[in-house]
Amino acid sequence: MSAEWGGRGHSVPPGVPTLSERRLNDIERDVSRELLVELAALFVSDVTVRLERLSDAVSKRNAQRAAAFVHALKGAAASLGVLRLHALAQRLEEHVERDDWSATDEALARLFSEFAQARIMLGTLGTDGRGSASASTQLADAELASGEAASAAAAPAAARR
Amino acid sequence: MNQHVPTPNAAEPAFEILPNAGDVVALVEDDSTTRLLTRAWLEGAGYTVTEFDSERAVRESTGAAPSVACVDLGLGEQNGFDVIAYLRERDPELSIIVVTAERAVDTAVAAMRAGAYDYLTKPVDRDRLLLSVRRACERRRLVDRVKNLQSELGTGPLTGAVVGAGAAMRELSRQVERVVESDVAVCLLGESGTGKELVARAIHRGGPRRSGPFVAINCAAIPASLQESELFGHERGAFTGATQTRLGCFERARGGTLLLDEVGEMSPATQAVLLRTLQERTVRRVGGSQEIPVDVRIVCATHRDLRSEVDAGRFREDLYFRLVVYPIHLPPLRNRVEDIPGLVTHFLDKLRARAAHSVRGLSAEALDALSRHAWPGNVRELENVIHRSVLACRGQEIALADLPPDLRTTHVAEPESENDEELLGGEGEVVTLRELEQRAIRKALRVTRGSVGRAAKLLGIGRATLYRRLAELDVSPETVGRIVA
Repeated sequence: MSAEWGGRGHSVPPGVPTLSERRLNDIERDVSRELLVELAALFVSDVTVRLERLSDAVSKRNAQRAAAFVHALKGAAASLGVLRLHALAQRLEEHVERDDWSATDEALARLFSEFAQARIMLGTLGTDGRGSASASTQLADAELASGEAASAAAAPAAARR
Repeated sequence: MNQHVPTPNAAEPAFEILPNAGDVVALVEDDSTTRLLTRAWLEGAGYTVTEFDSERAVRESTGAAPSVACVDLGLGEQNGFDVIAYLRERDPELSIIVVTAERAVDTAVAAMRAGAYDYLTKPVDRDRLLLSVRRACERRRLVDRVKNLQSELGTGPLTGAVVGAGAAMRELSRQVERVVESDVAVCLLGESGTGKELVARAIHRGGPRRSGPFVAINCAAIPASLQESELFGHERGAFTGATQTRLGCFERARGGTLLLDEVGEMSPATQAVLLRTLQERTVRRVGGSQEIPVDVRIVCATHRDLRSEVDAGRFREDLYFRLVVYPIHLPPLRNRVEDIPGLVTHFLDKLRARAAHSVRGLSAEALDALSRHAWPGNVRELENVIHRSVLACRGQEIALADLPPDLRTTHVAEPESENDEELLGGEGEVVTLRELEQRAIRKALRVTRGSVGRAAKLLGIGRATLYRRLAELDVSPETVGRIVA
């Protein structure tokens, strides 16, 4: 287990892919490619809103609302197989439960950057370029492992405070 | 939406290709991604899905009653347990599958204690979900089937209501046969205890709605202020004490038959709402604004002469014509004494099934006494008499001495046709309404051997009203005894 994972617990092990190839393939097989793309778009728009609300709750140190938002986010990520986001949401939920706001702030920043990555990769699902989910997940793993995941484009609300 | 088509090579579960048409699954989930995915899975398996994104949406729902509900425990800032409690209060037999991102064992235990049928954690596996929903639907169908059977057994076999080969019962059977297959509005007319509800059940079970529910409401037993709520349901907060939305009889009878027993006792206000409901084929819950479609067969019953009630201005004529399309008269027991032996045998068998007894039949004297009794309480009274006699009987045959005291003394039931003639006067004679009323009261007291309560019931008036009429006639309780004598 990496030091990052075992330390303050803000991140997830580098071995965990951004997206679950198996989950995405299952959805595509069980329902349709079109629905998978629709789900991805819905997820992105939904989580964008939820993150803003979560960020607001965290900034106000409202544990009840923060817990509710991050719990919902965790469920959505689990449903679509957005693994790293799910793992980070789990961590953040634990920090909120412990009233550890410092760790919560850091986890929230990572959640934003992780979502930015997931968003890019989910966006490729609707393009012809997506041969399989594996290419995307491998790319994500490589990016995250090299520490480039903390995208400046996803400046979290926590950082703005 | 494209749906997944199983391929021969794919190891798909067998239930994938089974149609589940008709089973409604309520999906309570605040996350739109999970909701869309779950809906796609369920619809792909043939279920009809109704979606709710909040507890409030569930409480405001007016759609078809679901067979199964999939409830997310974490509904944002709301509590999924409240939704479970609400759903179970509304339908105690509803199978609820809890879906949650929470993996803690205590949460699962709490969900099961709250009445959840199954517990699934996110990410939910599609096959696991469909298996759980399929089993929950099967359970629901079994519960409904058992309830229907229990209902049939609990009210006695149909033959109990139509025991006897006399002309009156043969005619009744013919009339019932004519209407069972249609949705024509039937009105069952007859004295108390003649078996109106049994005949209503027979009409329900014999017709195309037999697989739907049979719901009966006794309008006389519901205070006027609560009749509308009982019949049409109410919304939460509609009035003081309405803490939950409640389905009315019409909604509960959807797809089946609704018996409006003692419909003559319905308040004028409820009559107006009932008329609108029958015209529009929709109900609006008390305190609600939505029109909810209902597909229900209506059977009504009354011991009153509804036509007279209309003439007296106590029952709406337009409603009368809606309800009394096909009147069926149930004969009083005193007009079919030839059926008494068969009914006695039936009640002895019924009692034997409940508790062993050695009684095989009646003595000639006892049967004679039963045949000469007026039976103001009709078949229900006969059943009660047989029960009491069996308890008193020490042999294999009910003797005259085993009958209740009031049946041992001879009282001859008067043939109704003669009494009608007596009541209305002879040919060419016209009696005043006051005289007619006096004769009717005297006859009722004779038939009931002086029982004011039973006489009032036969006359279709309250006991207090009869006492007032007796006072007007200057008839004291002692005089009542003389009338009977």
